[in-house]
Amino acid sequence: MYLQFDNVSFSYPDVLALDSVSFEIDKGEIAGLIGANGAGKTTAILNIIKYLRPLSGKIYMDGADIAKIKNESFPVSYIADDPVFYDELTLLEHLHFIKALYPDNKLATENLIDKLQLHEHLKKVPSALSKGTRQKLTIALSLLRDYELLIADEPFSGLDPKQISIFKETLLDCKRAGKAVLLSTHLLDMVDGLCDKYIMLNHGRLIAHGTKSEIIKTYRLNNGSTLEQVYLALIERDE
Amino acid sequence: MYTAIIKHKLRAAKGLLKHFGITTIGLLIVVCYAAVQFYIIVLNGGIGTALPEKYIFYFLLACAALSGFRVLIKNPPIITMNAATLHYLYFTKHFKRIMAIKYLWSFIRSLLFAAILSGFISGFQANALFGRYFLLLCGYLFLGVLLSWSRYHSMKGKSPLTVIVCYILSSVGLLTESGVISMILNYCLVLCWICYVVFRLPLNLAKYRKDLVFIDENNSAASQYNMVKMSQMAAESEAKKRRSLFLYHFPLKKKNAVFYKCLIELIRTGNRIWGIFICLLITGFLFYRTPAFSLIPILGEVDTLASAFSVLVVMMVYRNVGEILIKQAVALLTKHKQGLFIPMEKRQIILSYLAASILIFAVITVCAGFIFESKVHFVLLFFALYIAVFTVEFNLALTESKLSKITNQAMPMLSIVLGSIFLI
Repeated sequence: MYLQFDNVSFSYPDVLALDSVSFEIDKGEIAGLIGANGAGKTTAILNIIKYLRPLSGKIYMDGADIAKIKNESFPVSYIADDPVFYDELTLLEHLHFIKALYPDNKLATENLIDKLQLHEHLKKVPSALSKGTRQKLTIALSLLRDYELLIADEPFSGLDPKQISIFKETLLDCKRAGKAVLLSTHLLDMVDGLCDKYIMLNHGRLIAHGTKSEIIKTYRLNNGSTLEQVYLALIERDE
Repeated sequence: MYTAIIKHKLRAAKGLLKHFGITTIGLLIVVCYAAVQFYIIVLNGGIGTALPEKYIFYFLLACAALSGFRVLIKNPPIITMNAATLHYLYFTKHFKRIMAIKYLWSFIRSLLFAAILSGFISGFQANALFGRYFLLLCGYLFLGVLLSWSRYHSMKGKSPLTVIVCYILSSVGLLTESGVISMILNYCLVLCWICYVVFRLPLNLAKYRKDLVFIDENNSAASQYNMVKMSQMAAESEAKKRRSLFLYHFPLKKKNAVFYKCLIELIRTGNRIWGIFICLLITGFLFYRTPAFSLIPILGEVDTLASAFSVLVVMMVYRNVGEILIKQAVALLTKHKQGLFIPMEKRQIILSYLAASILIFAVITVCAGFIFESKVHFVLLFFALYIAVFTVEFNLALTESKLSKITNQAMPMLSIVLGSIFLI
């Protein structure tokens, strides 16, 4: 396993956000982190990217405790749900900026511009871009970094159907390249069938973990259930 | 890579200068002028003349208060960077370098601030007095930065005891001894906190990122002169603030609910607005009671003009508070008219607002009476007349009478005339 959550708990001053959560993700695998708003998805991600520290439990990456991995060699790329940019730099300048930071990444800026169809926006500053294009820019910047684990927090917001299809294809490319992908969303129909496994959270608790068929089998749900039906049935049982 | 960050900073600064340059320079000139006047006339200082001992204490007290605000109260982070810098550089070797530059810059700022303050204390002479206070203040101010930064990243959301203890220790040393002992104490504390901040302090990055995003959005809106976004952000930020006083904290009854609602609304108008009102009252006090602004041509030279200006400034507070109260009442009555159920008649709502207004104006009148050292019966006379006039204005505004336009024009003049009662 590449990423391992081992009994991780985290609490904000007034709420327990993660309650002894354990799961694993392997390389070459897309894992869906599923949950309603406030379920603990973003908190789990913030713990992985070391923005927060677990109250108890450990997170391992490639067998090493992430707290002991130096930031400079931490192989994670993160697509935030609220992308941040340099408001006075153009789209192209952003791409060159990240490329300069990670010269070893073999992905060429030009290819990325082609793939994500960013040509007509190259000289625009972020505030002049549509929400979808800003989202595409943040995806492009994440792909230009050196990473083994790609984390995407609500990446579909603002993307139109064509852009969603391009982004899904990009995630599959990452998978084929042997990277691990963690995809957090509450738009269940978007990830149904895309992810190899699902990690379902409710009020900070892990309510299910595994492939869709494993979850259906374990919890004795209807075979033809959609991901949404599975999730709703599980949270009903949990509550 | 660093070129791109510098390019971004220069472009943002260019935007800010383009839109706010003249205002900022104007404001800076006014503040510097006021500070110099205060320094020369009230504190009896000057180039070549050191401050009298008693004023040095007040100077240091002001420094302790400023540092206390930063260490114990200030919410935004004391060290800032672009949210994008944190996001894209955190997992690179450059982040540590940028943090080191940020710490160094904070130290240089403390150094410069300490030099200016010590200059004021010693009369801008390079002597032992300057050296003593420069060394003392430099350590004290930088310690304040480190304590504030540590408190900001505290995970429990409140000031850790060690931060409070260190602040109290260094402040007591600064105010009581101001010599070698407090210098040694400050620099020992600075060294300990530097080690802690650099090697041990766990940064609360989730909170830091959120605050940096807010600061960035604000700066970006200012740089692009997007006033709509700026006011929207200010309103959203105000709405998100944690409230400590709620309507249910009052002994609510059907009769007094609107009265308390009006009081709470007025309190929640915003710290900045109340800050401006307090500054206006202080300005009135300084003009009327002290020679702080006596060097201002004409206005400072003619006593009558200075008194009239003080009245004008104080009456501005009355006018603005009145405006806020009227706007709130109009908003509530409009909603009531449109169907909001309030189990009382319009007349009772108006009376509740007037009662709250009387209470607020009574408090301001006590302050004004103190500023102008007026006799009690004149203060009472002013209060009775002002309330009478305000009641008329209030009712005209609520009835949307054509007369309200005339009163809008006449009220400022009438207020100043009424305010002159304070000077009798």
